[in-house]
Order: sequence, then C-alpha cells, then structure tokens
Amino acid sequence: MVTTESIVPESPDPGLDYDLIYASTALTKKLNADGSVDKYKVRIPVCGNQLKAKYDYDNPTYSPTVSMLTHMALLQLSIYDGMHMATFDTVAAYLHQKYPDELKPLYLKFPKPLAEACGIDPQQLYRIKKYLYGLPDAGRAYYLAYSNVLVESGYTKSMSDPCLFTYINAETGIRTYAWIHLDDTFVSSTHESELKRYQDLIGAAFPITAKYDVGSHLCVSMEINPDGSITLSQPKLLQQLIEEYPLPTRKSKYPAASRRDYNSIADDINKLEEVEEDGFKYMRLLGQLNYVTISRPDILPAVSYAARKVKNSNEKDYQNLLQIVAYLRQTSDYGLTLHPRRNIDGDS
Amino acid sequence: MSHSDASSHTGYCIALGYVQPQSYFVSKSQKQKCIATSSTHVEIRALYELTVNIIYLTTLFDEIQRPIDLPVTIYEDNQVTIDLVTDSTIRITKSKHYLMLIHSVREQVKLGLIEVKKVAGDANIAKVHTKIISDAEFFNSIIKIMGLENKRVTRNE
Repeated sequence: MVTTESIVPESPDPGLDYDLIYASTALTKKLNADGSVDKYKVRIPVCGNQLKAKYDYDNPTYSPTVSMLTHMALLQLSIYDGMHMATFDTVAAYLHQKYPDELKPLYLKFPKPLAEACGIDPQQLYRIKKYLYGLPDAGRAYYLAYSNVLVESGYTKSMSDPCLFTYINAETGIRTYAWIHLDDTFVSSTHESELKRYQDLIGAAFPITAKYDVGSHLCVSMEINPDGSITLSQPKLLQQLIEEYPLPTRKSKYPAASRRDYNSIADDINKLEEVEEDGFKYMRLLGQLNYVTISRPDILPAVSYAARKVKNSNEKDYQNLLQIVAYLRQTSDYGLTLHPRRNIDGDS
Repeated sequence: MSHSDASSHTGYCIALGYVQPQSYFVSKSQKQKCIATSSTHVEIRALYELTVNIIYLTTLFDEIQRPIDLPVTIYEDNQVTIDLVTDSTIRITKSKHYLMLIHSVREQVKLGLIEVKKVAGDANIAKVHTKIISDAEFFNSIIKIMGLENKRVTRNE
C-alpha cells in the first residue's frame, strides 16, 4: 500500500488566482490469464482537458517513450550476448511528483455524485500538492523525475533515444542498459548483481515491483526456450481476436486468400455505393491486427495492404481482414523468436 | 507496380549475426509515399530507407559501447541497383531524378558502413514483405524470418 498525500483539503485564500478542475472516476476490471476477475481497480483522474480548454496550458507536456526500433534492437542484443534481464514496474507512477509551486495553484473539486458516494462534502476544495492522473504534464513530470534519479546515480542518457540509459564501468567491463516506456522499465546487464543494484537505486525513489524472470513486457509475453532463445507472443490478444471474430466466407491457409484480392487495380478504390457507412469495425480490427504485428511479422504485408482501404472499406475488404484472423487461428503458436549468439564470431 | 496509384511497396528485415538460425528483429512492410518511375528507383528508395535505419542502429550500438562488425551486409536482388551504389564510375543517365538517394547510399558504401551483396530473387526472404504470397514459399520464408527453424510448430486445422 502506497500513500502519497497528493491532495489536502484546503480552501483558497480570498483573492488568490487559482484554477479549479473536477475529478472523474475510471473503473477497470483486471482479469487473470484464465479470465476470472483478479481485482477491480478504481482510479480518480482529474479532467485535465478542462485546463486545456480554458487556456493554452503553458507548462510543456511532451513526454518521450522508447522507440520500437531501439526496444527491439536492445532486446535482440541482450539475448544475443546472453545478458541478464529484468523488468521493473513503477506502482502508481504518476502520483509521486510534486506539483511545482511556481505554477498557478490548482484546486480539485469532486462532482456531487462522486462525493456523495465517497461520503465527503461536495463543497470542499482540495489543493493539488502532487501530480495526479489526468493532468496534462503528469507524464512529463514522471519522466523527468525518473531520468534525474538515473542520471544522478551515474547513468548516461543516450543521444539516440531519450528513453535509453546506459551504465558502463570501464574497469570491470560491466555494461547495463535500461530503457523506459512510461512506468515500465526493461533492464539488461552483463552482470546479475547490477540488476539488484538498479532495483535498490530506483526503489529508494519510487515504489517498484521487480520481475527477474522476464515474463512479459509491454503486453508482449516472452517465453524462454531451452536453447536460450526467447519467443515473443501475444496470447491474450490472439485469444480475444479468435473468440470475437467469425470465420471468413472463403478459406485459405495463408494470411491473404490471394494476391488478386488485395492487389487488383479495379478494386483498390471502391465504388462509392459499395463503401460501408460505418467503417468503425474495419478500423477496429485493423488496429488490433496492427498491434499483433509486433510479435507476428508474417502478417505484416497483409495488414499493410489492408490498411490502404481504411477510408473506404466494404464487406469484401472486411472478409480479407477476417482471413488474417483465420490464419492467426491456425498458427497461434508461432511467435517471433530472437536467438542467442552461436559459437562462430561475427556480427552482421 | 503493386498499388493502383502506381506507388510501390518497400519491405526489408534486419538480423544480428551471420550464423543460422538468425532472427530478424526488425521487419518493415510499407507502401512507398513517392511514386517511382522505374524498378531501380523503387529499389534505391528501399535501400536508402534501410541505410537510414542501419546508420541509426550502428550509432546506437556504438553509443552503448557494444559496436558491431562493419560493414553491415545488405542482400539485394537487383543487380543494376548494386552496380549503381557500388561502382562510382558508372555514368548516370537514366537516374538523374533520384541522384541524391544514390549518392547518399554510395557514400555509406564508400565509408565502409554497408556492403551490398547480390542475392537471387527467389532466395530473398524479404520478398514476403513486399508481395502477398500465397503458396509454399510463404511458409519457407516466414519460418526463417521468425527464427522458427529449430522450433517445432504445429498448424491447427
């Protein structure tokens, strides 16, 4: 249990220039892998959009995330060199940073139904002392605080990617890489004790949970094979796709029934009367499949070709997408496998 | 020409290490934004995009003090493209409108960052990223790209 004391009941002094924002509620159901309910989660985010609507929020809000290319390259390198790996997850990441005093004071008000449900006075105002979920620059504040901790303990921020931090000990030859994606951190090191050191280092500043058996990262599960290689897969998402979507009318064992379906010039731009009015279901499935391509490069071209029609899709195009789902159903145990180094030296 | 608006499709994948089984940790399949006027133009554009990524990766690996052996080998199935970027004595007559791409790749070849080697079109596994393939060749290629050669995979029918 982490207590942060982010807000304190306090009425603003008369004549004080302040901003008022309302709180909201976000309810989520966390499921276990077998589908049973793990826990119900409540979060009270603030309506940061109200701030943006009122005036041009002058605090910079940009917060970087690690690029997919960097992530995959370093993951491959770590496996290639047989480095030790661990993932760290910050608990309630956005709630630990102090809200700067230089900024205009912010006061929070609970909407009446929420306040009554919680049994507190709906008229009471709360002064925001620390960042809350929903504030426009909460992510940036977290990133800056986290990177400061790392830089102060001797890590170097990479020039290529602002989310990559390296610690290299020239004497012992120990190399440690940490790359962060919001509250998830992936750490790999040539020496196992460095991972523990990293945990102590960050654990002193943030409450974190550590996993030394790299089971999953960014919703991609990682399975370690006997030969040291690691297979990436997204079983939960695949299961969801397989259960949700029906079989296509035409059947084929490939992601695309035929090249002609995707490629014929006459079909590329659909006639206006054939276009579905609501392209939402096409976009939704396309978005899900696009996410699957992280661990499944085999459906990349099929998804890429299908994405051309996102603006004017019809039933035939939708069947093409269902064909990809049918292919995933047949080949659900495939997964991108990253291999360690073999005996012969040399990189390419 | 693979799209109705005459644009072409780029596909490539990047692996680490010489030894099989390799694993291709980056794969890309993308419609080109610029309309190419010849197949060489298509290939050069794809080669250029790949070179940009390789420059990024080598800088990254240098920075984390785990440099990789140079040059990085690129397997390309178009002989004209290889000649254009490796042989600086070729007189460019028909490719005047994409000189910048050629010279950009040529510079990297000259600096020793990349080397471009010929691979037969049928043996080029990146082919599955540029075309929709629906025959046995598809599985042969994707098994290699996904590094599944040693792993037993089953198909649920």
